[in-house]
Amino acid sequence: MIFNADEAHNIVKECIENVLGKADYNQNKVNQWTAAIVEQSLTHLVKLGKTYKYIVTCAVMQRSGAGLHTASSCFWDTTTDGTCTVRWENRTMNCIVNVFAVAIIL
Amino acid sequence: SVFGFWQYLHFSEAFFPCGLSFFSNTRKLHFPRWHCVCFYTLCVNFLGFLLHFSFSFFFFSCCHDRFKSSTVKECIRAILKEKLANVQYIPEEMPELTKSLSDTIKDRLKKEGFDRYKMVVQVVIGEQRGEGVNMAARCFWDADTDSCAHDVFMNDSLFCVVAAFGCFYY
Repeated sequence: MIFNADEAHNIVKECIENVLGKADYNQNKVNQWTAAIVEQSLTHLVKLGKTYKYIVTCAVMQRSGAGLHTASSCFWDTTTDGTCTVRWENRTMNCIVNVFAVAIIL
Repeated sequence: SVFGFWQYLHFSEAFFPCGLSFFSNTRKLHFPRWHCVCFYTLCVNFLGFLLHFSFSFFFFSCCHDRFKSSTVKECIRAILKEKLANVQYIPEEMPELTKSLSDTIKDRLKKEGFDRYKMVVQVVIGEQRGEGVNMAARCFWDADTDSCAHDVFMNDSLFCVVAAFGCFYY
């Protein structure tokens, strides 16, 4: 059992495009957007019906020339568990979604 | 575990009710009638089964080192304070810094003794320029055992968000 990162990548990308689409950065809505992105991605991932626990994080940042760096360290079984990162951007914002899949082996 | 063994002992009786184990031999002395023995074994089996589960639940929920949000948060806070106190945002140094931070926090959490946990540590560092940032996380996991912790550090030139997730493996 290996985590299929490409499949997850496509799912997440679709969700981001669904939610953010052609929107411009809006302070009042960004909370709702990030929540919608993680929740939609998560439901789609769970629907794949694989025995994984999923952790999905999303960061949306207004584009203003400021830098943003992200890194992750994982302590897990590399043969079964996997991660996938999606970067998305439009004119006014950057969006980074991270998916971590941890296999459930009983 | 001991309880597991105890349970399987009774299972073996259920499959061989004529008494292969020491216990059922003694029991047969008291309950010589065939259906009595069977009924009794069944009851004991059922109780043993329940007991096994309640005990294992007890062990899983109480006795292992749980991924405690408060402890983890304290760890993260201490490391961030130490590493970022007087750091200015220098774009060239940030990739290295984020990586080393996430590794340090992961190693620290490993030492904390969460023996049966897989851990994920995510670090985000951004420049403070008054831009808007919003982060969210959702997890699909076993809420009884798995947990997460996060902490935010800010100074006048950068902000840092750390999220740590612990997934119990069975």
